[in-house]
Amino acid sequence: MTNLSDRQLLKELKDGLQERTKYEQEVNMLSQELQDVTKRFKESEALKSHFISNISNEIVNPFTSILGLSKSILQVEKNDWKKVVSMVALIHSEAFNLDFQLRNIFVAAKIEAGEVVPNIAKVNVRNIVQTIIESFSLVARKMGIDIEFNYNIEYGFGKNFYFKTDSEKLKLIMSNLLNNALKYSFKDSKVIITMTADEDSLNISVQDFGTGISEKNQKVIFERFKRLDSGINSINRGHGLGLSITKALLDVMGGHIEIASKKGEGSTFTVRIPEAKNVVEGFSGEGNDIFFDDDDEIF
Amino acid sequence: MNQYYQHFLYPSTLFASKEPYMVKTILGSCVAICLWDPVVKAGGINHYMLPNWNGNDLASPKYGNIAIEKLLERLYALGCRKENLQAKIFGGGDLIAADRSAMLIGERNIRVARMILEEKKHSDSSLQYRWPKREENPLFYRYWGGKAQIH
Repeated sequence: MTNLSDRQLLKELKDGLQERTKYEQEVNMLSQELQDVTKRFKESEALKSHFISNISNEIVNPFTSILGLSKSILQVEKNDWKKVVSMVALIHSEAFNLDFQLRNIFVAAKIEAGEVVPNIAKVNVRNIVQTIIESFSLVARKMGIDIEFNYNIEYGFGKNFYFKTDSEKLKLIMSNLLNNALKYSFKDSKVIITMTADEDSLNISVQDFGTGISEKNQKVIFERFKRLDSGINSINRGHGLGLSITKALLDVMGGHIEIASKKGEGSTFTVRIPEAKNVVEGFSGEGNDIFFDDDDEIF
Repeated sequence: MNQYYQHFLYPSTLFASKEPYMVKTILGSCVAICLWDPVVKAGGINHYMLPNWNGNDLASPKYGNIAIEKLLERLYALGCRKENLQAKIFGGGDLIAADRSAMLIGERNIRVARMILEEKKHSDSSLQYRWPKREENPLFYRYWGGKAQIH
């Protein structure tokens, strides 16, 4: 040990103190972060249990109606066949809804398990959107809503425009957007779907003239399980997963979503999806040896 | 040399298996944690983009705290034991040099990895990590034997 002068000693102490304050600050920051995370977990847990009670209704109710309706069909007298048509229509709409909800739930589970990967192919995007519109046409007709499809892509092969993307994910995104647009529309209005493309991306917007979303709520709607009208008196069904799934799927595809909305005037959701680059399917099965050369650093 | 199955690991996903695999992934500020159990001979890897789950999005392995837990769950399901697991951390580079102070995503990603692994006592002496600076580096992770390589 060397002898320190008073001044040096003072300086050392001061440095030490400063260092300690720095660590203290860091510890404070970390514990703050920890508290934040815990709080969010708690909130999320509450939402999750709400979701479970919600979802059991979503699944049990349609099943009960499907069972009941099909039972009454079996009991219908032959000359009463006209009754059957309306009951079959009801069965179809219940089953359609159930199918849609279940699909969303399974995809959400897959995303949370980290099993969702892009699956790129050349996709006829016009066709996909038309299929989705077609599948919702019964729901739309029942509500008297007109679905307009503006297809504004001029180039491509004749009428068809092929775009490299993931068709299943695009379908689910479109279904969710259209489902929401219909759900929050007023009777006898319309929904406009517009599709445009520029050099390397595809833009699809879905516009409704329904209830609209206030600016404050526009931030919340992408959160999982969150529904703006999740009271017991809510007229709309759903589990609040649709938009968070949409966002997560867009994440995988490298796209993003925007909202433009005014309360009472309707909302427009626009998704923008970049064209996938030629995907290399993994990498070649042969020639593994090249990956571990002698000069490579191996950990 | 052994024949390996191959897998490309996309961001926000995980992979775990008992078969000999060569997993490839590309990291920037993202972090990948490779775990290997030499006793059971099984391993896994994740690839997360952000340190902590914000509580709003789906609780997916895009977030470090979730990705690590889920990877461990998968490995336990394969029969791995906590005390045998060896961990290696890769990635966490800081890509946007300009706003160093503002975000430091890479550094925070690494910190979450070390914190959670240390807390779980998976790290031991085998804990290694490395930052690719300002560029995306492909990482090849060979399952069998838990070897990893930065290309």
